[in-house]
Amino acid sequence: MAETLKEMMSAYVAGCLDNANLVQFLDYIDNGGEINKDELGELQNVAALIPIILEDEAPPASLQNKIFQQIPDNEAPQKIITKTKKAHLREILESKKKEVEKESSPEDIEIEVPEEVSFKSASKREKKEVKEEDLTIESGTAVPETPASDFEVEPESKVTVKTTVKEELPEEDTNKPHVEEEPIFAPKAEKKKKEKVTVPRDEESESFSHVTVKKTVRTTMIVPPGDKVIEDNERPVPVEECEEGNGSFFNTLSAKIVTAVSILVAVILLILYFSTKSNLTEKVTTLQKEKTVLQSEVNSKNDFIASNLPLIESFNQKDLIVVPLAGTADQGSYDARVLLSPSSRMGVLQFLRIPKISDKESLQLWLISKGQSYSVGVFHPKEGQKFYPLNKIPHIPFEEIEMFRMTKEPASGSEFPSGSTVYFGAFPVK
Amino acid sequence: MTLVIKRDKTALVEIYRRYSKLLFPLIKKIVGEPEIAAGLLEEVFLIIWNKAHKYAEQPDNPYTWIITLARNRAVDSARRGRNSLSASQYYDDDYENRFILPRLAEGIDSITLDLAQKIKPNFEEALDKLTDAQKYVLHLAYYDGYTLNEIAGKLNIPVETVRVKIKNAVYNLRENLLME
Repeated sequence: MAETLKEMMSAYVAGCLDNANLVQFLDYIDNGGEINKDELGELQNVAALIPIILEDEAPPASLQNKIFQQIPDNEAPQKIITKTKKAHLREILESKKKEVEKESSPEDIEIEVPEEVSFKSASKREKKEVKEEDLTIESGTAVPETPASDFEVEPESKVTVKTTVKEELPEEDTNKPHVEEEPIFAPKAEKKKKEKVTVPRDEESESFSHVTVKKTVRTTMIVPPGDKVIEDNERPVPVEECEEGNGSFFNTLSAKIVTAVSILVAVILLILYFSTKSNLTEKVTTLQKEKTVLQSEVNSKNDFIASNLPLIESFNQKDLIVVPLAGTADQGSYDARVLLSPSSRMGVLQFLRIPKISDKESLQLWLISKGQSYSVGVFHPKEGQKFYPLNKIPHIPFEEIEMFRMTKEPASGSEFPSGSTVYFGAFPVK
Repeated sequence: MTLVIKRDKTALVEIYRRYSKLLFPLIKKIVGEPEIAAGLLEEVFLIIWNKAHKYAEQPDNPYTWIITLARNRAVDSARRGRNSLSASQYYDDDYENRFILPRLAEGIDSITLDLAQKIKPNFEEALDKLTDAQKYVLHLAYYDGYTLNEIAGKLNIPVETVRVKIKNAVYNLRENLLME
C-alpha cells in the first residue's frame, strides 16, 4: 500500500484531517479507492483506545437526569409495555389453547406400566391431598376389558402386577368427596397432578395390562369415604361427570332458550324490516310517479311558452294590427294570421291550419305594396308549432301595404313569388 | 446499541452508566472546561439516541463508535472555539452526519468497553514505547484537535513531515499493541 495512503489513513484515524481533506478521503473510499479496510478498521480501534488510559471521572450527577428528561418516555416504555402485553397475551392464549385442547380432544395420556404400576402423575397429587387414611389396593387379577371412560386396557400385553396404593386423606376430607378446583393458569407440573386416574380394582388384587389413562380437564375424583376396597361397579365417579350431568342439562336448556329467543327476535326484526321496506318502496314509487307527472306538466308548460313566445311577446306591443290570411278556396274563414306592430316593426305569423308541404318546399310570406312583392320570411312549419316571429318586415310605410300573401316556394325560398298561393289576406285600411 | 436502535431508553441509561465515566474525561481533556464538557457529553448522548439508526448501518463496534463520536464532537467544538473558519460552518443535521458521526471501516473488529478495559495495561505499555515526538504529534492531533496544517504551523515543519510522523505514531502504536 502506498505510503501516502497510510499517511492519510493515520491522519484520518487520529482525527487531524480538516473537513475538506476528510470529505476527499471519504469520497476516495466510497468510490472504491484501493484501501485495506481491515487495516483501517484496526487503526480506528487503536485510535479509539487512546482515551482508555484516562482516569475515570464521573460527569456531574445532574447530567444524567438532564439528558434523559430530553428523551421522550413514551418511546421505549411503550415498546416494553407492548412486549409485555404481547407476552402476556401469548401466555393466556397458549394456556387457553391447551385447555381447549384438553377439553375437546380425546387424546389420551398413555401411562405405560411395563413392570410395575406407575401413578407418576397421580401419586404426587395424592401425596399432597390425601392424608392419614390409607386406601390399600392389592391387585392380582386381570382388569376386565371393559375400561371405564378413563381407561383403555389392551389385553395383548397383560402384565400382572401387585400394587399397594396408599392414599392419605385429611380428616375433614374423609367423609366427604374431595373436589379440587383447577387453577386457570396452572403450571405444567400442577396440571400433571390433575390427571384423572381411575384405577379399576378387583377386590384384593388386580392385574393391569397396558393401561392408558385419559387426560381430562378436571381430574379430581370423588373418593369414597373410609378404608374400602373399591369394586369395579363402585368405580369412583369423577366430579365433572356429576356436574356435567346436571350442568349440561341446564346448559343445553338455557342454550336452547337463548337460541329460540334469538330466532324469535330475528324473525320479528325481519318482519319489521320487510314491512317497513315495502311501505317505503310504495311511497318511493308514488313519489316517483308524482314527480313524473309534475315533470311532464312543467315540460308541457315550457313547450307552450317556447312555442308561443312570439305571440306572448307580441301582446306586449301597444299597436297591434291583425291581418287574417285565408286559403284561396275558403271564403269567410282564415287559416293563418299576421300580427304586426307598426311602431316596433315586429310581428308574428300564426298558423291555424298548416298546409302540407314537402321537405323540399317552404312557405314564404310576402308583403304586397304598390304591386311589388317583398319577402317577409321563409317558414318550414312543424306540427304543434303555431307561432313564428316576423323579424324582417320590409321598411315600407304601413299605409302603403296592400296585402300579405303566402306561397309555396323551394326550401331555401325565392326572390320573387313563383309557387302557388296558399294563403292571402288584405291589409286593413285605416 | 441494538436496544437503543429499538428505542429502548433503559439501554441508553446503561450505556450512560458504563461510558460516561470515560467520555467525560475525554471530552474535558479536549475542551478544557468541565461545564462545556458536560454540555458536550449531553449532546453526545442525545446524538447516540437520535442517530442510533446510523450506527445500525455500520459494523457493530459500540466502543469505537461511541468513543470516536465523543471525540469528534469535542474536537469540533474546540476547533470552532479557536478557528473562525470552523466556526463559520453551520452545525446542522447534515454537518453532524458528515463530520461528527464516525464511519467505521467495513473490516473493523468489534470492541466492547470491557475488552478495551482489559487491554488497557497493554495499551499503556504500547503507548509508552512511542517516541516523545510521536506522542506529541498524536496528542496534538487526537486531543488538541489540530489539523495537519495546524500542527505543521505550530511545529514549524512541513505538512509532509507531520503526515509521516502521524503515520509512524499510529502504526507503531498498533505494532506495539500487537506485540504486547
